[in-house]
This record gives sequence, C-alpha cells and structure tokens, in this order.
Amino acid sequence: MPNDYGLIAFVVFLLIVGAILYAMRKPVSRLILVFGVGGVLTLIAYFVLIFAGVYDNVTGAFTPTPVLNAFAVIVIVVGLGAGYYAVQRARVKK
Amino acid sequence: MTSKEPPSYKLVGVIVAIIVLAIALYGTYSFLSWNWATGPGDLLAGKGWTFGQWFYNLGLDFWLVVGGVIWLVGTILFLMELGGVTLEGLKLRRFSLRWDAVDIATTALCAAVYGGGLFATGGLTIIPGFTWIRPANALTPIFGILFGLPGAFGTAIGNFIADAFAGFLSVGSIGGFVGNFLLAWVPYKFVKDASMRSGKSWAQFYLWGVLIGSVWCAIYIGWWLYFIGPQSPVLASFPLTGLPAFLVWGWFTPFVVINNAIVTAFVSAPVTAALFPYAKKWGLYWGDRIQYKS
Repeated sequence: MPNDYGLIAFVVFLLIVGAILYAMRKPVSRLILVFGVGGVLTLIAYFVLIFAGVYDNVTGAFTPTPVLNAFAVIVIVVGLGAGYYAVQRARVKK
Repeated sequence: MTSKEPPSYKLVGVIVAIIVLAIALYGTYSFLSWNWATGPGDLLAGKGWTFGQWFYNLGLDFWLVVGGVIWLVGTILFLMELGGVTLEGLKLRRFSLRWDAVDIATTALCAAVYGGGLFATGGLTIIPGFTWIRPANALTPIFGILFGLPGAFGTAIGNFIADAFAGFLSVGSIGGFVGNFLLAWVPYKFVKDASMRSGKSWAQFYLWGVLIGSVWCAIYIGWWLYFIGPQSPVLASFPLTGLPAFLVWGWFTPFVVINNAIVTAFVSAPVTAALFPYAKKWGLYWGDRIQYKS
C-alpha cells in the first residue's frame, strides 16, 4: 500500500538524518535517532498487530477493544517505570 | 493566585476561560445532540453537525489558503525547534538543550504515557481510520508547560505510537506527529508561569493552551489530510489517504478542536499546578534545563 511505503520511507529518512547528525556530533541527533528507532519499533508493532488480526475486531464506532486496552496499560506502566528509572539514574550520576 | 498582580489579570483570565469553555461546550453539545442515524453524508445537504458546518461553510478555497499558511508556519516552527532556534516574543533566539539522558528519558516517558493513554480509548472511533475520542489529549499542555521541548516531542512520538496501536497509522500520521507537537509547544511557549499561581497564567493557558493550541493542531492535521486526500488540488490523481474534503473540514477538524479543547479546559491546568513542584524538584522543569545563546 502507498501509505505503508510512505511511512517506511519517512522512518528510514529519520534514521539516516539522525545518523548523519550523530556523525557530525550534533546533540539533537539523539532526539532524531529516538524518532527513527521509535518509528521502527512502532511499525514493527503495527505490522505484528495487523498480521495477528487485532484490527479486524475493530469494526465500527465504540467497539470494545480489550486487547488495545491491555497493550495501553503495559505501555504506560513500562514507560513510566523506565522513564522514572532513567531520570533517577541520570540524577545520581550528576 | 498571587495577590501582587493587578486584579484586571484575574478578570481577563475569567473572561477568556468563559469564552473558551463556551465554545468547547457548544461544540460538544451540538456534536452529542446531532442525529447520528442520518449519517455524515447529510452534511453535504446542509443537515450536518452545526459546529462542523461552520467550518465546512468557510469553503475549500478558504481552507486551502488559510490552512496552508497555518500548516507552513507550524512546520517551520517545528523545524526551527529541531535546529535549536526558538521564538521569544517576536524575536528568534538560539538555544541549547543537551539532549542528555534526562531529556531523552523525559521524551520517552511522555511518549509512552501519552501514546498508551491515547490508544487505550482507540475503540471509541469517530471517523474510522482517522480519529477517535481521546481524553489523553489533556496531557499535552501539561507535558509542554512542565517539560518544554522534550515534552512536546514526546507527545509527537506518543501520537504516532497511538495511531499504530489503534490501527490508524497512515501517511496522515505524519501530520498528526507535528500537529500534536504544536498542541504541546503552544502552551510551552506562551504560558509564562508554569506554577499556574497567577490569574495571568490561567488567562494565557485558556487562550493559548486550550483555544489556539487546539485550533492550530486541528487545522494543521486537517490541511495535511486534505492536501494528501482524494480532493487535493495537487494529489487528487494519487491520493495518499481516502478522507473526502467534507469529512476533513466538516467533521475531522472541528471534532479535533472540541476534543482537545474540552479535555484540556477541565483537566490540564489544575494538574499542571499540582505537578509543577515535583517537576521543579526533580530537575525536569524546562526552564531550569534550557540555555539561551543570544
């Protein structure tokens, strides 16, 4: 699908730009690499969910989505925990 | 609220809040009271959602030009912030952000919490494949006001993640990426007192964080969807999304406005005020981390 190719191209573009800026030792390269790596992981999750057939269950408005809700809770908890750990660790190092 | 500021600020804050809340509540009321049995196609016959009809009646030529300017300004600001240049009043200033472990962790934390919060309600679809009811949008001004650029970039990534997990990922998500960045960036730049202890900061919050941020984000994404859609003046023969113009301007854009405005108006300001002391104590407040070069 053109949509998917466009998104893959966008993410690859971000990775290339991030890598070039990283080679040039620009601080913002870390952020762009986060964009790119985050995009790759997101696309992987997206295609896994497509092939798992999760989206087939979302057929219209106000469809209950327990699988998505479960993923959401996992992402929030892992994100909060990892973020808290990283911030605390960085503060201790200082 | 502080007693040092002139009482006029408090009055302005109350008036701005009332106007913004009235717009958001009217949009929500008209949306909920619309006859859902008739289908969105009736919009073309003048029987659509009243609030959305106002947007659509401005005309496609109007939206092509005005939306295009808004989109261009938003894109330039996004790229400027990436390049280390920011807007201070009407002046451009170079700034330095280290993008060290704390900044990256803050970005990732905001992305995970916002993304997870968004796709938790992914089943509450409004326009299949394009938008859904998103209470987590209340987080965007909080992240922007407290964490600055890491918070704004985190919301952009979070929206991308949510699009994927909710099954809405498309080239339109690129517009959503920058649009959600702006939703956090506008309050970050224009709400000057992150502690929210003054009437002025509440006035700035309702004007910029709720009204202008919501409208800017909605028009930004709406114009992108229109430009790459089937009625695009440029890409009509090779559309990248399938949303017709009347759905973009009569439903999608006004819905995003009221969804953003209603949740941010009621939730974001008190939560920001409550979290500010913790962000400051942990060294995450953007004002303590950014360095201006000129």
